[in-house]
Amino acid sequence: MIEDELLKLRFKAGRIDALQRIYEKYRDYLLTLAMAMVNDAATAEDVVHDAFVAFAQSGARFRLRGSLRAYLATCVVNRIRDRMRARRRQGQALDEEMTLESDFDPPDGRILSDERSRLVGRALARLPEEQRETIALHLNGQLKFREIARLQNIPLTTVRGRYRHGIEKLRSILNGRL
Amino acid sequence: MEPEDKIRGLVQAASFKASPEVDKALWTEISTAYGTLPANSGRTSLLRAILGTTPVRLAAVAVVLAAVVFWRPFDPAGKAYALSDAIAAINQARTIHVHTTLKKGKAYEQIYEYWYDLEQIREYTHHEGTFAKVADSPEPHGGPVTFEPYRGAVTTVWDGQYLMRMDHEKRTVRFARLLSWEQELRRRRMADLALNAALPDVLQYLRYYTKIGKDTIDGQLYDIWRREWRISFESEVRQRYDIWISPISGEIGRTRRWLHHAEAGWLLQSETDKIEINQEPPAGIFAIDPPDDYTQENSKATAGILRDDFLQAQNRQGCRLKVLPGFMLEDGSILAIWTVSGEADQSDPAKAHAHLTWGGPLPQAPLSLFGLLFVPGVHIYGSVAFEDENSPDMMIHAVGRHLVSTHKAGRVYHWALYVPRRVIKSETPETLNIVAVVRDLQNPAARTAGFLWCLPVSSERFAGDLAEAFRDLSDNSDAPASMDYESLLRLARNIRSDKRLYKDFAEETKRITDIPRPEPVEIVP
Repeated sequence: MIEDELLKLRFKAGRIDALQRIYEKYRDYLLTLAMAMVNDAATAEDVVHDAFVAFAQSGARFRLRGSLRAYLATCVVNRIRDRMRARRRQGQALDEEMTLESDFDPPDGRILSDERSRLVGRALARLPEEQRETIALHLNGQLKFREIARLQNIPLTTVRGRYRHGIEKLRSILNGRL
Repeated sequence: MEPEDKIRGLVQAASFKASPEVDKALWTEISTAYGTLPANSGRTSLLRAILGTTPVRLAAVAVVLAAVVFWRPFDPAGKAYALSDAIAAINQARTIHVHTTLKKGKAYEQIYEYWYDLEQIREYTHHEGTFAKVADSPEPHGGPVTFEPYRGAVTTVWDGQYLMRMDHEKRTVRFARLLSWEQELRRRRMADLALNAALPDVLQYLRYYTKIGKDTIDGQLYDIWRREWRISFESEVRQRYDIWISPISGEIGRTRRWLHHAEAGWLLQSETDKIEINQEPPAGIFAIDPPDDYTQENSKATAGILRDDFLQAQNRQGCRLKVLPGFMLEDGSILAIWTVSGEADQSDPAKAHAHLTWGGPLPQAPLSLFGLLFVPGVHIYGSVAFEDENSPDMMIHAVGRHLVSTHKAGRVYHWALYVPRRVIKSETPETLNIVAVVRDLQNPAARTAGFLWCLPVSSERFAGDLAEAFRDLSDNSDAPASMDYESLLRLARNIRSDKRLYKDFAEETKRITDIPRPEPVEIVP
């Protein structure tokens, strides 16, 4: 955790090596989080790219007292939500589209994973959006329920409920497939 | 169906990684964006950036080329973190957690745990273990002072406004209310408090730490930074403070404090095994709801303001002096407020305070805050003692003059101005340690009572802060119109020009300040 504080300071002071270290430290973490939420390699790559680009551009203006990891996770989640909202406005049923897409493996080897991870990605994609987000943030993003409640601006009990229901549903989806 | 644990483990183990080409492309585009203004939030074409002609784009080209040519995995070897980095990290943290064990021989082991929430300004401390108290003497007029051990476990929680103290041995709870300027003072000083809990002496002695070697804890490599010194009044006793800092991550792995005895060698005095930054505090840790089975000695509604953790002194007649946090003006002068209570304070306040005048001598109370000493790099062992041979050679006397006395709920509060011999800017090293000097009418030799807390206050804020303090400490509630910032600065200038006051004060405090400095200690890796 101290390393993150120091990286924040050095990044703010204009050190590109700090940005590089932050990128390398959180790149796969954010990709995994994004994949757990959308199960689509191109979208995951794009939102991680956009989150890092915005972060890199913030430079000396960047101010953060809290956790860098949670901040970056929030950036990715917000971008995924933006995309979902945009698609809804365009009349596309995103859940349906992604669930259908997600029956296929991530294309062309741009994002690497093993068979089990892909299976999890497909199973998560079948959950309702809010349950999927909660599980992804808690188990892949390693955020505490309280942090998720703050991020989603909902009561802690609701977060716990979504998580519990999501896990139950995952059990049923993955039943007999492990 | 599969058990829930297995599903959870499976999701946690899911991992997606960027392929080398995605990794390189991402980093190239991110480094391109670095230092440029936010533009299109969508993905930017590398080609577009290179073909651009504006200076920003040209600069971007240079960054891109550099990033592509020099792209390599992060190498921490040339960028080792040092002790100063750890301090910087603590200073901007959101939460800090510290866990320390004190080992004063086998009989007195104590655990100290601190949680600081620097975002919402809340504080939790827990002390537990075997402590020592002065044993009752069977002789009526005392005898040799002896100590006896006792078990103690106390938790203190501050929620920003109220402070709750839980005594787990007695199973009691007591509330105290913080005055508004005290709340502000704690808010501003919380980062210092947290730093002090984590690394107690680095603020003053950072430059005396030397890297003496390397060590591993749980497989992680750390540099060991050491300061070693000789206690000033016991020249044969040496101390060491070792801090483990990871050169790769900047994490503080551990701190240890040692004391050297000629016969026993180096003995471990304390070990801090946890200094965690931005960890989520346990749920409810800052709640100030007392447990049901604890006896409440008071409530939030009846909470008092004179807490036991104020600077205080007591004499043999049972008289007690409490000094509240002060206001530091822009010239380093301090408006301090103190009150006296106890058996010896039988004097009629009206008569005792009749001759007091604005800017005149302090009240002749049984115990009084006689003056202040601005001394960086000292500890107090009965007398003022330079902590070690490296302490800055500086001691600035501040003499006290009376301003007003107020009455509230049967108590008398004395407001006095303490003026340093020369102007001192607030929040400079000189103001890190302000030692309170106390005088006891029954035993005129001056003595020390601890360090005074002060809130640096600007002229803009002063009137509001002062009015708040008067509401809490005066039946009349209004501060005198003459007690404004400018008047106090003017009075301070007059006091500072009176050399006789400082000469007398220096003479009277000579016994506690004239301590020889110890010889330097060589640190041997």
